[in-house]
Amino acid sequence: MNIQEYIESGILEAYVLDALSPTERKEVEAVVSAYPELQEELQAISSAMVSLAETGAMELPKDLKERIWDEISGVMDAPSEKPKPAPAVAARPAVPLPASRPNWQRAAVWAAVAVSVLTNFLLLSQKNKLVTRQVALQHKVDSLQEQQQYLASVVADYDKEREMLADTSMEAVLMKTMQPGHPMAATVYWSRKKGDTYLSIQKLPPPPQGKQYQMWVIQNGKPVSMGVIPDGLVTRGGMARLDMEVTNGQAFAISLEKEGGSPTPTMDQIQVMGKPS
Amino acid sequence: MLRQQSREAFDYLYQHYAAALYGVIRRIIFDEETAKDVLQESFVKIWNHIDHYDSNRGRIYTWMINIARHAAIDKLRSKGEVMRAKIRPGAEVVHTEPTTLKTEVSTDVIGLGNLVTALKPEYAHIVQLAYYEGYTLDEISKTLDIPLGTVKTRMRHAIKILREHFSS
Repeated sequence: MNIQEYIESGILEAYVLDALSPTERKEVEAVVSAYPELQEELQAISSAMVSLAETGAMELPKDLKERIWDEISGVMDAPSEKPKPAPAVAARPAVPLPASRPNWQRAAVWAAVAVSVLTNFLLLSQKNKLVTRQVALQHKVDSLQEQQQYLASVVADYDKEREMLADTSMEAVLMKTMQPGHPMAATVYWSRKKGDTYLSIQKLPPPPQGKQYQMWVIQNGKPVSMGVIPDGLVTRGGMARLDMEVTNGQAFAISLEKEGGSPTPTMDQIQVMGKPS
Repeated sequence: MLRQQSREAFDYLYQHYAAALYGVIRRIIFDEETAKDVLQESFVKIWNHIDHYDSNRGRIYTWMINIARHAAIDKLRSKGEVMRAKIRPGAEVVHTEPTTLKTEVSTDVIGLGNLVTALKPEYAHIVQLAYYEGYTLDEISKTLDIPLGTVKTRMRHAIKILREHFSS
């Protein structure tokens, strides 16, 4: 299951608002119990609902507290004192009486709940703060790590390039634009002797949606695919080694093809082409 | 002894939660006397059901809020359309002409000032129906004639804005 998708679907919010059918509610409970990330998310949503209620707190009417206590304590006293006449109980049908739980048990539960609610509250708000800070830090570390990896790969590319250019058997084949009015350029570094080829892109626009650049070598008049060029190389620049070993060829070319490449190049879509000297 | 212990628990409960629960109820039921009755019913219900409370179903506070909300919504529904009209003229528009209500979901309905004005009308409306009128997602989808998936994602977005507000 994709947890992020599940969160984004909004079903957890609906759960907290009690806006789900009993079946859906059961499903959510089952899923949430299996994933700690969902439990955290649920907790955060609940906190927002609680904050909403607390922000909207209203001053209580003066007489209300004792009125409610009278009803609660009246219910509590009822069984221990002389039984009240039936109509007194029937007068408030809206209040569901619990099946058969003794009153002392309910009081004990309440006392325990009062303490645990308070403790949970304190611990939870502390924990939430820490979690938020930790998440923020993790993001920072992640992005720094990404940057660092990126820079390291750029440096490695430069190193490779320098070493290659120093290799006397290496020939540079400049491929120039085949599309009038669109200046583009890329270079193949080719060691005929070793069969190594490297591609370096000087200027190619990012491929349109659903398209990809493909590399070709012309051998005995026939174009042979050297594979599709990863978009990253186009957008980021730098140099990449091509997998195919090439020991003979009269020209190199790059064409724009459908994603994944084509068996033969689309002729009017050849972007750049160049011949070894 | 038992009575005294219970009284302490009750005092704690009342002191910490009653004002918030009363606020939730008053936003659904404007009539003060009816709202007082509903708070009383909710408290008795919470008191009596605390031993049925399932800790897996989320935090106790949201459980209590939902009890108060549902008690208020049930009251509203049981008193019927007359009551509804008396309490909040214009609420009926929801069922017939959802588009006109979009602009009518105003801050005094939800009553949280700039907090909810920060929500776009289409988000505020869904919060209104779900939170203050107790509609299920399915009912909201049918009432507003928008797809269920959209209801859910808008709800998520609305609550996300609230979350950001409260965490700042």
